[in-house]
Amino acid sequence: MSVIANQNSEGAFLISITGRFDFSSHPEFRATFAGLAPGVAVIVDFSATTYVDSAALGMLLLLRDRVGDARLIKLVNCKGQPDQVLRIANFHKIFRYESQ
Amino acid sequence: MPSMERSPADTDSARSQASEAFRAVLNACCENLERARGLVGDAVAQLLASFLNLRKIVDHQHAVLLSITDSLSQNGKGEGFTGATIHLVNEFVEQVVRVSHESMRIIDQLHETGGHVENIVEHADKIDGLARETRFIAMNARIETQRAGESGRTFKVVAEEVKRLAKASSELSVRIRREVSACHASLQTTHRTAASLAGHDMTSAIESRGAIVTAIEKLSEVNTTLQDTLVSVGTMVDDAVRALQFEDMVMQLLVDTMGRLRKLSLLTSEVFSATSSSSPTANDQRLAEFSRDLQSLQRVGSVTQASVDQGSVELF
Repeated sequence: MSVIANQNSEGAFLISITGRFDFSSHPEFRATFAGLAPGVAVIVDFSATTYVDSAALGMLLLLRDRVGDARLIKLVNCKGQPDQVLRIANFHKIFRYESQ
Repeated sequence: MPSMERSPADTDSARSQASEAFRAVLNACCENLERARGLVGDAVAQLLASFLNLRKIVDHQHAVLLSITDSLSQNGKGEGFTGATIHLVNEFVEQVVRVSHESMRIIDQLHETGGHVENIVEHADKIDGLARETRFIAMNARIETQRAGESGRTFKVVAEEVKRLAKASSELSVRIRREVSACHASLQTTHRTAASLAGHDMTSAIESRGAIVTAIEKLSEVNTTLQDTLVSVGTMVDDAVRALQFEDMVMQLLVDTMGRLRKLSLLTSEVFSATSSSSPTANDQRLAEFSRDLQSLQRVGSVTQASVDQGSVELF
């Protein structure tokens, strides 16, 4: 997988995940949000994500711990297997959520 | 009319023979009807018992089915088997997510601990450097004491001591490195354990949830079909039981017919009882009475229904 992170015009931190989002993504994902300050809005883009496992769910919760509030995080363009896994784990209710 | 060639006694005897034969035929008819009554009665009783049993079994099945439906849709907590099963799957997924979250947190902490351990290695490197320098100083001091001769003897002891301390520092550094390397191995093992706890394929959870929902939907579909079938079987059995009440009509028809035959037998024997000695006027009178009686026997009985389909059974 690859993680591309940048800041959008509204000041939100944008993370795009390409390919599989699983345990092997941890070092990269961790490095991406290591510098984030609490209270920053984050958008995680799943449009290029093909697979999500439980470790990815754990990492999203670590991201929430980092920024301090699940409502600051928006999961966008969720579809296919990632959408199913995120929904079965109730993440569509925990985070702000947009399916594709 | 008696023939002129025959004696009155002959005529009487022929008449009485005919009367007997007629009576015998009527009796045989009555016996047949009586047997038919018995057969129909037995058969109907058996059919009725079977149908009532069938009704009981259908009712029982219906009750069992209702209890299944009840437990599917509702249990003590009011959420039902369906809700409880989905709830269980959700709880399982929640546990998996919780374990993954905690495992990832542990892995984060392991990374931090790993950083601290790296620092320890750096410190050990510094200890090595210090020991090297100290050893070098001790060596120089020893050379200087040799040069100083007798007056440097006490310094030689000090130089030896410094050399010993440098060696001890090196040994300590080696021991630290050994501990650090063991610590690294432990961290790696913990990392592997946490990783195996954190990363789980969620496909089976998705599939299980889907399979459970499908199975439950199918189950309630089958349930509904079965219930409909049982209700229509019950209605059919009720119809059959109602139809079996035609037995009463058949019985009454049989009894009525037997009554008529018996009466006919009686009337016939009266007509035949006329003898040659009887006056022609008396004979005519008897015949007139006989035809009157026969007319009264022709009257239609109370059972007029011709088929069981003609609405509800009329009892009289």
